[in-house]
Amino acid sequence: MLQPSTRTAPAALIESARREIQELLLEVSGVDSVLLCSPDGFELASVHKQSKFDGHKLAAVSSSILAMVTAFVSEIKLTGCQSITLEANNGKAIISAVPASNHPMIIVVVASSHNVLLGQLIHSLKKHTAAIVDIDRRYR
Amino acid sequence: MLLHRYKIVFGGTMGAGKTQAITSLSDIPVLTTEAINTDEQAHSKAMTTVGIDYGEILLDNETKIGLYGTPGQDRFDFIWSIITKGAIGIVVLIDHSAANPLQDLDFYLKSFQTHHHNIVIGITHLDAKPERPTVIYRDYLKQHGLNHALFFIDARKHADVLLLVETLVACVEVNLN
Repeated sequence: MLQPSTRTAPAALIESARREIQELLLEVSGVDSVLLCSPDGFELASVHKQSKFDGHKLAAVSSSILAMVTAFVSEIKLTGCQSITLEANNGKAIISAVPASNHPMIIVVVASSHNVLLGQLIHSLKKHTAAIVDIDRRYR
Repeated sequence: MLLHRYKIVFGGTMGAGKTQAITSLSDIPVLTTEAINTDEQAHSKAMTTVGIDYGEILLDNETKIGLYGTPGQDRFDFIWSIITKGAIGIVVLIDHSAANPLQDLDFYLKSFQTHHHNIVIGITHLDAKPERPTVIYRDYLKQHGLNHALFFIDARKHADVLLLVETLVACVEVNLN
């Protein structure tokens, strides 16, 4: 019988993390979608107000981008880069690492509104990231 | 004086040894973009490439090769079309010990042939499945009318990986001449 993987986040942890990103979606005005994915590019959970995206593809692209930027940041001798903010003509996106010790993850936030308050979004993202890191400690 | 700068891309099965091959060959510390591998059903290795690996080798005083590694999983296929632009060729590495290496070979050849015709094939991990015949790869190429160079290699060995790269460069030079 196959033993459960120790690297894959357990379903209960994913459900708790999904509730965290749901809260983020609801408490920050202008956020359309939040995706939770594994560092190797698998979609774990996603919540939306509108404009549903292809979560599988976005998870793969997001993990690549974060890994590439981390490598870039390392090359230029900067440390502690956890997130990337992308600003487009019609909205913003943030790709942010969840540095959980047992099951690290990535959160992707998509906001198509110009009115989204970036400071509020980053504050909320940090709060829920810390909550997921905390919950993850129970799942060794 | 450097006269030529070439770019070679490494593609192929997850766990075939693409990052290892670049590390074996590179003259510089390899820039890697690895993440924890959570798909243990696909492969048991701890880390997997999710972005682009980069290394370099100076073949002689006139030729520097940039070595670009790609993720093997098909969910990262968006990188393949980007990274193969401007390359002189592609090394396709296939894990001989995988469940169905011929299916893997077929998939990666078809995927990369849309980006480049100059492809060499390296079959790795032969020691992990010694009972499987190696002639299956030659037969596959023959059946499909393909004449890509085929090598059986150990990605940890500098000389083995160098052979793949030199073959790609030789193919370019033959075509140029």
